[in-house]
Amino acid sequence: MATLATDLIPLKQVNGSELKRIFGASASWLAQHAPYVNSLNVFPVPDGDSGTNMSMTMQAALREIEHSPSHSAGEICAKLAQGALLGARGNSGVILSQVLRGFARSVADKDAIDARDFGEAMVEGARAAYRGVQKPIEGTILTVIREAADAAVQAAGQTDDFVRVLERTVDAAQLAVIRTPMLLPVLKEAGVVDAGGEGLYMILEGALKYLKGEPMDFSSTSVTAENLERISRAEGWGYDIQFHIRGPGLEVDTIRERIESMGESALIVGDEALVKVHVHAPNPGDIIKFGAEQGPLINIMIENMQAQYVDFMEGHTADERVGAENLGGFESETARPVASEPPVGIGTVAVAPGQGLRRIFESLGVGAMVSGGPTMNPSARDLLDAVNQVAAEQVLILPNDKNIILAANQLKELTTKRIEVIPTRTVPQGIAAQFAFDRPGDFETKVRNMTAAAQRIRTIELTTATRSVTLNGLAVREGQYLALLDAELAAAGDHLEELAVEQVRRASSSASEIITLYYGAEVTAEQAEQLRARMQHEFADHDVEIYNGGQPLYPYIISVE
Amino acid sequence: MSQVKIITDSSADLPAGVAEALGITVLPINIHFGQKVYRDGIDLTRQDFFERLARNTAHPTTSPPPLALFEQTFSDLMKQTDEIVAIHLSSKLSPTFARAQRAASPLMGRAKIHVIDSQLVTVGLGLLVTAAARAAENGARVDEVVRLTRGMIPRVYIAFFAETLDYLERGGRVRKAQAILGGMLNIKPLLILEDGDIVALEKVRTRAKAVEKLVEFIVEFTHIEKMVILHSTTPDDVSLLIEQTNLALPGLDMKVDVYGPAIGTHLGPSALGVVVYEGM
Repeated sequence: MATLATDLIPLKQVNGSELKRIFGASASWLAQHAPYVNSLNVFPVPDGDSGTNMSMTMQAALREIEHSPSHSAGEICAKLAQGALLGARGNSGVILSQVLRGFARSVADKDAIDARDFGEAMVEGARAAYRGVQKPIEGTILTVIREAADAAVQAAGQTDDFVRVLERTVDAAQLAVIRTPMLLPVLKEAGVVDAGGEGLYMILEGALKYLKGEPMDFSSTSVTAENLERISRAEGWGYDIQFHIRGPGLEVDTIRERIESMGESALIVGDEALVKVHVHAPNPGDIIKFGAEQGPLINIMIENMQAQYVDFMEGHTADERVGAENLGGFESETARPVASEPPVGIGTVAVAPGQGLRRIFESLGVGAMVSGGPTMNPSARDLLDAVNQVAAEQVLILPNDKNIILAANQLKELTTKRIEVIPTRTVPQGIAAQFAFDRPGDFETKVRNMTAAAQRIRTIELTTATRSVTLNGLAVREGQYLALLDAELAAAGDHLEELAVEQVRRASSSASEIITLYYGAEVTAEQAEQLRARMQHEFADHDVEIYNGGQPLYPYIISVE
Repeated sequence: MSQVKIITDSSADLPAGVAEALGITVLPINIHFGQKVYRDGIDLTRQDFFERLARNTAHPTTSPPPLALFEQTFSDLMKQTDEIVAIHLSSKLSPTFARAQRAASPLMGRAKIHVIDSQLVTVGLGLLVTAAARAAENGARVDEVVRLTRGMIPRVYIAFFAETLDYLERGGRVRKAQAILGGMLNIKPLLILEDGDIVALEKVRTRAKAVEKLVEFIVEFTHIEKMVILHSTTPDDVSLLIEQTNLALPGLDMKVDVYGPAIGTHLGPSALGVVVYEGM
């Protein structure tokens, strides 16, 4: 292979075709290590996984250049950056996309890049990354890209051997990663290095391994981003499948019988001319195929129903890298339009996990919904699709998760529509903001009203600890219940209901009136009703309401207002 | 020349004694509780109504005064005057106005009868009717009374929130508000009357916020000639509303009244509202 460097023939520059292969190697290396990067989760709650998010972002970037015939480094990088921008998921994915973008801008007019170009491009990447966040924090991916870039520039001043420069860059990145806990106390307390920084290091290391011709061990136990989707399917996480079959001559009873045998909760209605199918099943393929054999299909909608969450506990040993390796499965969840909305000037897009929560948002007049949440960060493209579906030129986005806010902000440069992100960190904050949306006013007024409304509501989220850790003086055992108050870790306990009541007591005041329980997919209606009754007893001066939220991994999301 | 006579319906929620003092004829809206029919203000007081509302699980309904009653009333009044102004609740909320028109049209040749769609209800309508009656008492002719009344209509504002949407939805009076009301969560919508239609302005979930919204609605006026707070069973909310409004607009004179059965049928208990007249 022409690009293999040896000690005898120093590699002076790489062109577009070579860059394609280098990035391919980077992406593979990162994907192989995604479960490990995911395990570097500071907070022991199921939430946005940096490894998965960065890996998905890299994959999206690669798809843009896969079929590009270009040999120009500048063109390849530009396409790559564009792909990353649209495919960015989670905060680490967004920052990675900024790095790629700065890098691409720096080499825009170059057919091939040498060591010096690489150093400068890395610096531009670092600058773009810093600019992309409002409040840069050291001890994160930002520190890693900056120190790696500095090392690259320095090395390029001493040698024009591309591989040597990359070696020094990788070394600096690794050192920076190791140092992250010294810069960011919360990492030290949690006993981990920064996940995003580690992901970036893997990307650089993958490139180096490729250039040095070192084996990239694709071990059979490791999970690559590509096959995650297959795994989540094989594990039988359910899909929500809906479509209509056009007649004539449809045999409703036969169709019903067959589809009922292929899935659960099947609802098949219609006549010879049109049959509506709604079913939950582990594999949408067979059902769609059967449907298509009956007649032309229209209005097809397939949606991942709930937790696409796979535990990769196996093979994880108790080394210094503490933690369970949780890897969020992911689907490219397409946004789906909500009830036909009059083309008014301003609309909203909301992100929510769980069908129940999405229905609540829809009923409140959201313009378009995006499936996603703590463990399923939608990509910038998913959000963009939803924005485009809203019949309005000005769109307000409710990310409803702290790890989605940054990706939502990306949209401002991806669409001609006017975009503003209401920084909602929880679902109830989003619901409160949507309530305030109806209040008359122009765009700026709505932004103000909605932001204020989101800040006024208190949110309690209950979930299970994904690992044992001591954080902010709070000792948490893996498997214990955790309570988050306004998206911050607040308490741990062995009894879910106790924890819920205790936190509601903390969040309520003489001025609050309503406690709303949104129960998750793993809670039964009876259990939820029991908690409701108990809450009503404990907080007699409040109204307590329950709704089936259907969210995965969080048995209860509770709001107090 | 005899004085102009004013007719309205019981949805105007006129304070006790005002109709008699000003010679206003008030036709009762019918309130149906199951099979039983009560004439608002005649067989049914406000207190009776809210007690019944609390007791009955079935929701009440309303119907306009019968056509014959309109015809009878017009011909009775025509013995005293040949100038009559009938002012009724919004035609978008009730067929009362249409019925009055129908009764009046065959009589038009014999007397000057004007039927006005107030586009308002409750105390908002009451303000119009009172002003019309006062003008008539002071000798205004029918055209002047009509001009005055029509001129006031766009200057009277009504905003309110209902504790629950059940009554409004059952009454089918919220066509235009549907979009905002179709929610799955329990919501308290802030509703206003706009061109006689109930329009949902925004929705809130707590009473405290609803009161806040009403205060925001009130303080937007640059001048308030008259303001009435309407409630039924929630004096605490009224106190809160007065207190908060006074913070923003010290010295504003606020009257408090209980809304009557005609509108209560559609709002249910525990609604809270304000009627603002900004003056001419």
